[in-house]
Amino acid sequence: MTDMTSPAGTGPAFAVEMRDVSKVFGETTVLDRISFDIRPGEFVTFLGPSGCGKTTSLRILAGFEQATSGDVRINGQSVSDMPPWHRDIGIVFQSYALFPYMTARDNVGFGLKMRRVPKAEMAKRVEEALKLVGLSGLGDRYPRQLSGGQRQRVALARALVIKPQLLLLDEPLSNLDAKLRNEMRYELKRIQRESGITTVFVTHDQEEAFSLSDRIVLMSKGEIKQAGTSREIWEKPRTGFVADFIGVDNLLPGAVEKDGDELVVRISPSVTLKTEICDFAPGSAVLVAVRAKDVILNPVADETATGLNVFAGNIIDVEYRGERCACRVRCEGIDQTLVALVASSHVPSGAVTLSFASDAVMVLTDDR
Amino acid sequence: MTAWALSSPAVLLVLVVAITPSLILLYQAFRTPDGAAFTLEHFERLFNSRIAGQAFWRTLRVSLITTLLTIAGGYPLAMLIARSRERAAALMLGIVVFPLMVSVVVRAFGWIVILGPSGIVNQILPGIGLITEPLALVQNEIGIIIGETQLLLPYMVLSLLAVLRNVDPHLEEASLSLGANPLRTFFAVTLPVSIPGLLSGVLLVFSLAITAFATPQILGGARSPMLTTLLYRNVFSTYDWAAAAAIAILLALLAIGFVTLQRLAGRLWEKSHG
Repeated sequence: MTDMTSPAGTGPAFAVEMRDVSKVFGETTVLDRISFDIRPGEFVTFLGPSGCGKTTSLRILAGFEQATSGDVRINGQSVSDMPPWHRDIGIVFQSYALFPYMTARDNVGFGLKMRRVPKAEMAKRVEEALKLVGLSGLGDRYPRQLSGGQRQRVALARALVIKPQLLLLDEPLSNLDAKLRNEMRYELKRIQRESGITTVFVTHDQEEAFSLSDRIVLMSKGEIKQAGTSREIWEKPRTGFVADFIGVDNLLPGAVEKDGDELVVRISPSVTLKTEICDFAPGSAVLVAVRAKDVILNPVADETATGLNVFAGNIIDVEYRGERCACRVRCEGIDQTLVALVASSHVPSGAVTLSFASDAVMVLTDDR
Repeated sequence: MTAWALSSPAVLLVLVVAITPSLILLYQAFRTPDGAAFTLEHFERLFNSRIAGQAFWRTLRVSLITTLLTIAGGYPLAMLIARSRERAAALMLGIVVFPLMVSVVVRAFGWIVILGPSGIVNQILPGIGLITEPLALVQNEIGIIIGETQLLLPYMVLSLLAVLRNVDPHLEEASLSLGANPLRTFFAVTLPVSIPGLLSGVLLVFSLAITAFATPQILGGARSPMLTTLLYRNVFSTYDWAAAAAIAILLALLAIGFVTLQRLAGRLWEKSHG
């Protein structure tokens, strides 16, 4: 598995290869045998809650941390013993980390100066980089004279101007206000596409991750929970953690049971759920995930409702979410309340009936 | 009015213990021995004295070298502490500051035990064949420089640490990622951003070095007087209080001159980096 190079002449098949990378600080395992490949030009996001290991992964790629075990290759070359200043990697930090006593132009030119690029060429490349990020004409300003968004752009230009093998972005949008963040998100995507540089983006914000990435690596407690395109992760969460993280409203712990020829999930002594796909053996403890949008709310109370996946209940709370409202419903025999979405123009109240199709019931491992 | 009333004890104290002696000092430095007339003869005597001249240059030289040595030793220490985790940083800081709690005199005698003609160094080095004659490490400038460097290092470390602790650690990482090795990163990033701490450390160390007394007295000996030890000699050995007053004023001018330089450098830095 170590030799992943493609036929001669086309260069390595992967810009980044991580093989069984672990990181242990004292007695805490921060990364637990992470393996992952990134194709050249790809925009990959490490997504997860704080402490999931995403920043450590980034710092190992940058060379600021040494992996305790495992191998990291960048463009086919093992970098385990290569210090950061030989790696040719551009980084944008959350704090931007601009050199405060240098103008925007000198900040952007820093990497070229360290590479002893001739003056004339340096000036040209710096201006190009400033133009790429839309800051032509502001090269003489000091960081303190620039707005948050502009600093961000300088930091990006500084990382891109050295034409790095790999661009690392450490939560670069977190310090911006909501409006600017959306704008910069679009800009980031545009600049990455234009430059074609392989990019690793680290964030805890799933919206950012879903809108920017070619692929997402969803991490938790030092492990990769799921890696795939935004659509794959959104539509087919592989574990309970993933479903929870992407915001599936109804998560019910239960156990798989055999009911005749079919497998069902018992979520309380009196209630079982019917499902289409269940990869678990009878007796397994699982987590059932049902999206609020898949729950059909019938404003008529049907006391005789007894069919599978049909429940009588009472609305106990309504949460306004713009076009839709989320109704929290307490159902007979289920400990947890269930959430269903209804159009905000017609919000029912009191006794209702909930139902959902059996193919809306996702049966997952409970690894939250 | 209440502000004046409330601060009057403090003002009185400053008047009594600081201003009055200074005025007496000025008076003595510029008066003829009988106290009758204004004179510059004490300063003339000072400038014509070979010993005083040597003491002046020695004071300047020793203090500058000491300051440079505390910078050279202070940066690595301060950077190490600033980058360490909380507990390790507290421990190292404790070790750095601990000597401040030991009397200067005790420490100077400690150095004699280590550096003296029959001290530890002079027993070990000939023992392993590095030297044949014992090294003269005390009763000279070397002894004063060693003693003062150790004495004043904590002030430099604390000054640098105050700034380095607030520097975004990502600054250095950004520099490393852009291709600057650790040495270039230090000179291109760490040093420029820590200039304010360096300036205050230099001011502290230099002014404490020119006014240090016990260390040069014990480690310098009679043959290498500094302005402070010369002043002491004038007061207690030759009872020439007027000459002592003149030396004191020279020391004060040296300090004021240095503070002015330091302020100027600080303002220059602010103007270019703000």
